[in-house]
Amino acid sequence: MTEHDDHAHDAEHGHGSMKLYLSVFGALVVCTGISFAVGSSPMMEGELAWMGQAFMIAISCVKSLLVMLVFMHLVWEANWKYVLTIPASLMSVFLLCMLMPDVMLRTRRYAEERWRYAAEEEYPAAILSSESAGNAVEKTDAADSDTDGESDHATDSETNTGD
Amino acid sequence: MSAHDAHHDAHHDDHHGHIQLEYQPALPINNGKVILWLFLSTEIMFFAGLIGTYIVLRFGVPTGSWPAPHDVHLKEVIGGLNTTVLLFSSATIVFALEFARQDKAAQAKKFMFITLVLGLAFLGIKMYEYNSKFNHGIFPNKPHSLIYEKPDLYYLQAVKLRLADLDGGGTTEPAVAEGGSPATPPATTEGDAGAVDSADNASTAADAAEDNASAPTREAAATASAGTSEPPPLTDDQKLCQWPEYAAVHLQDKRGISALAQLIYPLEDNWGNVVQYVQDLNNKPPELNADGQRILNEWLELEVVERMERYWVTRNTDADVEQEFGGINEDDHAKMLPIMIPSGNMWASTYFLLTGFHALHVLVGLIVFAILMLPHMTLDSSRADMIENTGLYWHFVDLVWIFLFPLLYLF
Repeated sequence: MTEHDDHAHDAEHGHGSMKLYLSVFGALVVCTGISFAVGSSPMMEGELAWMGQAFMIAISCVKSLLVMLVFMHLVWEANWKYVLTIPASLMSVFLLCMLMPDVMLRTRRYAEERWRYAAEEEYPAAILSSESAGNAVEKTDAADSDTDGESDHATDSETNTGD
Repeated sequence: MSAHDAHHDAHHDDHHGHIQLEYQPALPINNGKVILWLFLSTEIMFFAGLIGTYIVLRFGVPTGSWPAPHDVHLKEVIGGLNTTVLLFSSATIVFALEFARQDKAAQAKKFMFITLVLGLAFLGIKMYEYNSKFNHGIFPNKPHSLIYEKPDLYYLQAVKLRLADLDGGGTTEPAVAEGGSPATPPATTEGDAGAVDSADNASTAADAAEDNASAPTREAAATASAGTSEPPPLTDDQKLCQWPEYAAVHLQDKRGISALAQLIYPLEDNWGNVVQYVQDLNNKPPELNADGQRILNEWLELEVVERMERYWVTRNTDADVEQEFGGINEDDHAKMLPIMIPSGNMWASTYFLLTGFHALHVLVGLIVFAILMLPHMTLDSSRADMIENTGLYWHFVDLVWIFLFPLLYLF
């Protein structure tokens, strides 16, 4: 039967060898190790943290490509693979790009005064070194018994006299 | 993969002769696989939404305020271990598929079983991680979450309320007569003490409720009630709350509350600030009246403040400091006082959202593996399609974790 031959023919070429799978697994573990090493390195705490982050995302993309191409057998599949995977991935990236300017970059151009009323820890160095702590305090109204920790709304609605 | 025959041809017009149309499948794979890939592309979008949210929120916080892994009991090594476990399980499921295609059913079942065990190990490690968060009061939502974002008066209130709960209202001694400020526990003076602008009444009421041995309060106690017994002495915990409140109310200095937060739950970056504050209080004491001075002295003599300062000095002079200062919540675990972690609630929400959904997907995969383990399931080439589809789903779960691991643990 021709179908059986076709099937056998595909079975020969539709998958990889054990050796290939094992070496891909080894490569994945090595990539994880590299990613971990970069992520734990002192670079991540300095100014160049973004470089480490970009590098780790790149490594993750490499790992995911390895899994998708070899483990999920996409190298041996026909062109439909592009139709399904590329639009979904593009949409994911577009989603991220659309959200970035709104939320992610909102603190980029904050004025000094704005920083004081943003959701921040009580004394970053900027406030501590400047004038006395009294100026940086927001006055709270009559305390409600609500012990909700998110007091940002309180901060924003109070206007401080100090500058 | 067999070619379907010509009865799809609807136009059996005899006068045109027999037109044999051959059915061409749109895709050269079986329907199950098509459906599964469509499902995976929807899953890509699902997780893209969640991961995109995380990325945007995490980088949208003010610079430097995202909690460090150490602050939220996140260990990168455990995440790396989870990643390796999941990668290994991805490999074993591919092996199972290969053996199934070669009709080696026993081998296939063995490797499928290994995959199941590894998936269970992943969930077990995740439960261990969640446990360490829950133990320290880090939950994704109220009421269990102990996290406050800023060291402000709300936080101070919460700490005092919690201490009052722990005491069981111990500061209210029955011997004191009805009414009168000394009878009120610190909890009910919260409302007064919280308002900065109702200064004098609040401060005297607060002082009266909290101080025990000073003359002014003796007078207040004597005038307010006919009780003969004095209020019980303050515990160390209550003294801890005294100074920050005094500083906030009288001096409008919030650094005291921040220092209190650090003593309860130390954060990596705050050490220097807090120690500086304590040293400032010693070297350049603020101008206080007698009460304030007494409160400050009592606060500075507290053992926990001393230990913190000592630990900071040792940490900066001695490279191997063995015993770390874990804070009050660490030493006295049952207390579970509210803790202050900047952007902590945002962190908890995104972390539990991402890892929770991922764990649910892992669980679904494990259920399918369990079905494949049933005795009547022979994993030969007739089952190869089912195993392949299961493998595709499991590899996708692995893919998501490959992205989650650096984003959550290493960023």
